[in-house]
Amino acid sequence: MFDIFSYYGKAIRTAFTEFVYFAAFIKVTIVEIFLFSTRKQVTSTVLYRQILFTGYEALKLISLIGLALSGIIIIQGMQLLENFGQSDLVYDILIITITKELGPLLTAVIIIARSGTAISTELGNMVVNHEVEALTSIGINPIAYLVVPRVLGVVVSLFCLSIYLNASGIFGGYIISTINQPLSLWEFLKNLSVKLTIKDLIMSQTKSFVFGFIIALISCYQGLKVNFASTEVPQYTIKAVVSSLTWIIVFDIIIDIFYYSF
Amino acid sequence: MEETEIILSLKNVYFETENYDILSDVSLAIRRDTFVNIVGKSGSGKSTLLKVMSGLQIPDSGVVELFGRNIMDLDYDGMLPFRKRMGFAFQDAALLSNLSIKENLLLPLSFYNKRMPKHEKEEKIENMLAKIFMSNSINLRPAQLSIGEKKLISIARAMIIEPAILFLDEPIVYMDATMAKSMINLIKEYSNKEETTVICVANSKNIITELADNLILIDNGKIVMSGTKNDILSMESDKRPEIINDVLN
Repeated sequence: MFDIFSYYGKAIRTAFTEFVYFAAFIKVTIVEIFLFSTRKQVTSTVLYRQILFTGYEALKLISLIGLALSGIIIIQGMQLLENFGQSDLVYDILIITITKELGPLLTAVIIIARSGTAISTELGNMVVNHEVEALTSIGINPIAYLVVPRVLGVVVSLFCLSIYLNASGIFGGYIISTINQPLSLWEFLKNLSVKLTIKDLIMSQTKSFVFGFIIALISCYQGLKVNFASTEVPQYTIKAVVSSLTWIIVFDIIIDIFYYSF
Repeated sequence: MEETEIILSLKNVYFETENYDILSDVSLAIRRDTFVNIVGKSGSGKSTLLKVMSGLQIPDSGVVELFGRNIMDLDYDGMLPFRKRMGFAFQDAALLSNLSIKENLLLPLSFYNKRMPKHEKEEKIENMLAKIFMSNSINLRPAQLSIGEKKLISIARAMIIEPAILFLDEPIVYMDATMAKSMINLIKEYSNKEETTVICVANSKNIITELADNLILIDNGKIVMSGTKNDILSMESDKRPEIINDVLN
């Protein structure tokens, strides 16, 4: 007979164990982040490579998405708002959608697709090939060598890429709006500065910082959970993507609630 | 002969995974400056025993003492002074695939010799690669090497910090005769140095006859025989476990 208590009891125990492991992983990672400067002799190269891959190599894609997004908002927004004589509101929409909402969120989604999957796959394969064990045998803490530089690299990259996406979005918005209605860049920026507050920018960059941390931590954790077989690598990579997407949306809502409450 | 200090000991060690005993009541003592070879069938627990000895795997119960200190309760930082004195070469090489050969060798050197000048580290790496006739591979990635070459680099990585104990897991498996000969010479040169202990897992006649001082025979996670090579090899073959006869024949 199906024992519902036993079934859910086991599921709850598994979820609790998972939570305890992940909490311990976060704690050790945070401690090791503060010790990064003492270990940089061997970890700095990993950090540079992570920033190069996650940040620099994603610039083209981020520019394209920023330009396209703002273009769509301006074109659609202008057409709609002109009917109500509220063309000026397009700047508000541009700021709300790009700077406050879609900018950090879209950058995070791109980073999950490019770097989150890469981190999880790479670490999973390293476990299978005993590379993580080899680091331990040398005396190098895998959290310090593999996780910390990746977390720092992703956080720094996402923070910068989010600024870049906002800038390219706003620049794209300017180009498209001049097609409709010739406007000097100075005037465009002046209109924009009236609508864009420091609080908006802080909120946008807080989101990027938090999202970067979430993506890197989850991707590293899932990658290191691989046990023996290479067939486990794609399974854990999928888990990393789904968990990262879920948690960035949850934290996006939490940050929005804080922003609009205070 | 004067007895040297015990450098590593296991007392009543048990290790199980998924309700299956991999090591069962293993006790042994290894003296400094010896070459110990562990012999056993596939799946007998040889590699697990090597990892337990080196502190890479923590057994379920028992005591593992390295350099006279119980290492069972040590964390990463606590293990560091011991790791500095140990080198481990894995069965499948386990080189870091995203680093070049030079970077792989540089990793332990940089980790333990933070103040060593860069040119000195590079010179050490070049000398080590020259010793194994792999100087031309310095800038290659592990994926560009054969498995035998990777294993040579893996041993070079373990030896480069000049450890007091060297753990070798199947060092000459997957190697052709020439490469196996260079590997044996490399290990011999290291084990002939004073104060160095080698613990090797290998079912190889060459390693047993040319290098080993002592043998440990393991079957189903239990030590079935141990002693000096001379004592075990001079026994009548029907009084020895089958595996050692298979290896020697």
